[in-house]
Amino acid sequence: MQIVEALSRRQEILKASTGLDYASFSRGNYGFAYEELMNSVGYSLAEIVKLQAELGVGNTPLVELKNLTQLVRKSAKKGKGARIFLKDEAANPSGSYKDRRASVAVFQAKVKGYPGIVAATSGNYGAAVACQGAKRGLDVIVIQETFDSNQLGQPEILEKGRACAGLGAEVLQLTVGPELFAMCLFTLESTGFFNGSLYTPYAVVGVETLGYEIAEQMKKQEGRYPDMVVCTHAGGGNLAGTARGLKNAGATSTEIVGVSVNLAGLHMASDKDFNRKSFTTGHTGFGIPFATWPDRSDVLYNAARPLRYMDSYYTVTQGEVFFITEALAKIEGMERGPAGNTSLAAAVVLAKELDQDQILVVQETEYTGAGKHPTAQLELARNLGVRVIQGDRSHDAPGSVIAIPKSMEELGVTPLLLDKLRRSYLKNALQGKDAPVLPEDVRFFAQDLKCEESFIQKTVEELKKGE
Amino acid sequence: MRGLQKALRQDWVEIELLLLEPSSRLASVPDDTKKTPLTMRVAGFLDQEEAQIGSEATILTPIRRSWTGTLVEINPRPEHRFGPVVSELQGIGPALRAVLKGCDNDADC
Repeated sequence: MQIVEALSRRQEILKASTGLDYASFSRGNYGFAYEELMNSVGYSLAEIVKLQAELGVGNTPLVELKNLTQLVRKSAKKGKGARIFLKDEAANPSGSYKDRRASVAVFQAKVKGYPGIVAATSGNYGAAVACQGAKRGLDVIVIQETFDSNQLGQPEILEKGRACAGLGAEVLQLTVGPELFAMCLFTLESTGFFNGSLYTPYAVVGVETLGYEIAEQMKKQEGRYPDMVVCTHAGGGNLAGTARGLKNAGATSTEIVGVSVNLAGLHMASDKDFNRKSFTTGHTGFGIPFATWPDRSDVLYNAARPLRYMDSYYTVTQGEVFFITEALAKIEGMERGPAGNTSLAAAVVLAKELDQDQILVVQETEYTGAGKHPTAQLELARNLGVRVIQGDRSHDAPGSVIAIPKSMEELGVTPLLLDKLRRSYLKNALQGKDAPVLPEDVRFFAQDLKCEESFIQKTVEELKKGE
Repeated sequence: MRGLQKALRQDWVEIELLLLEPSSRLASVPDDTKKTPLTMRVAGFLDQEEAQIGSEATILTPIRRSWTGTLVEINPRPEHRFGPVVSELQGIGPALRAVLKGCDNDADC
């Protein structure tokens, strides 16, 4: 089976399997017409709300976390401690916000007459596609990076694979490696199925209803938009889609915050490192590469562009997410995650700096259960020799030590400098390309990086001089 | 009674197949991963009279696609589960409850 040679036919396969002539969106020497690409989806917000609602997707509860807010205020300065709300996306049919993404992709596949849909995923999205495929009568193939070379699978990955199979998909479980993309192309080519990639405009537009709902629900409940929305960030679709939805609803002053679990030092494609992490997504292993080079994805132009929308970006530790997961369960009576609680771990720290009359929304939750649960994750970690201790973030060492705080006061966040990420992005964009950076390219970069054109010009100059 | 080593037609089984030899892996792959083959597992209904664990087997997946590989498991059972109680987590609930109640520690509550 010559899966690697499918890579050489990448452009044709992606065009046939998405129905999108990506090359036609190219503009200037470095950019593309992003809004045109997003608009090519062709469904209005009302149509998307309808196609989601008819299958039970979306319209999830927005819950105020009164007890966690109280706890934050106990250790905050006087008058500080914003109200914390949680958007319970676990209430979606397959247990995560990924149902919103899958709903549009699967609907499109059905409307365009594809016999089935392929999704390359760590699992939640695969389950969402399988769920939507079952409802709409399409065959589903999920391609998952599951095992290390000892056939050991992380329990969360195994549960997600089980869910995909439980929902009727054919599940291909591969050992670790970037060749997963080649397998995806090979499968698309040999089946003629739709490419249900997370990074098509369909899969990002589907998330917009999440941001829209937050704005509308908050307006209805509290008469205003939230001051801050905190999103777990990995591939970028979660944050970008939510931000777009918030803006479309009119919440243009809401600060959009991205958060990732810090896994610095672990290589995502390393056989040895693969299972030494307790989070299979929502981490810096995806978050930073996808922010600094979104077009590394499995389509030609990635619709999920986090730096276009991010106002700030923080990391938290694995131990902090385990702590807040326990707090959410015991103090708010909600057993969720730990996947998806990355944003909650940062939110309780960020809320401390906001005023009491301000409002912060944690934008998602995910279902929990066998394999996903903190106890399953920590059991594997210990079996692999990772030390699990009580301690604050100063003891955190991804792959070696998981330090679980014992009080809210011990939680923290590490800000990432957006200008540094912007610079990395430009470096990646210019890599190996001699073409001049045109004024329209500068405009594109400024929009894609949510910054001034002067920053782009200055940084491009520095990079060209080899600084 | 069938032994666990032999599967019959229509049994739900799992097979393993080789996708790439170590030497065929992409250049971008880290060194430790490059030493290992890229393999795949897939489950489906056995599409032949019978097969032994370790021998070649052809399956039909739930979407009726065919795969041939080495039979590795018959009636595979998911191994993931909840883990044992983690003592570093167990104290968090009571401690936070005590803070909410305004006690200095939960023994005073």
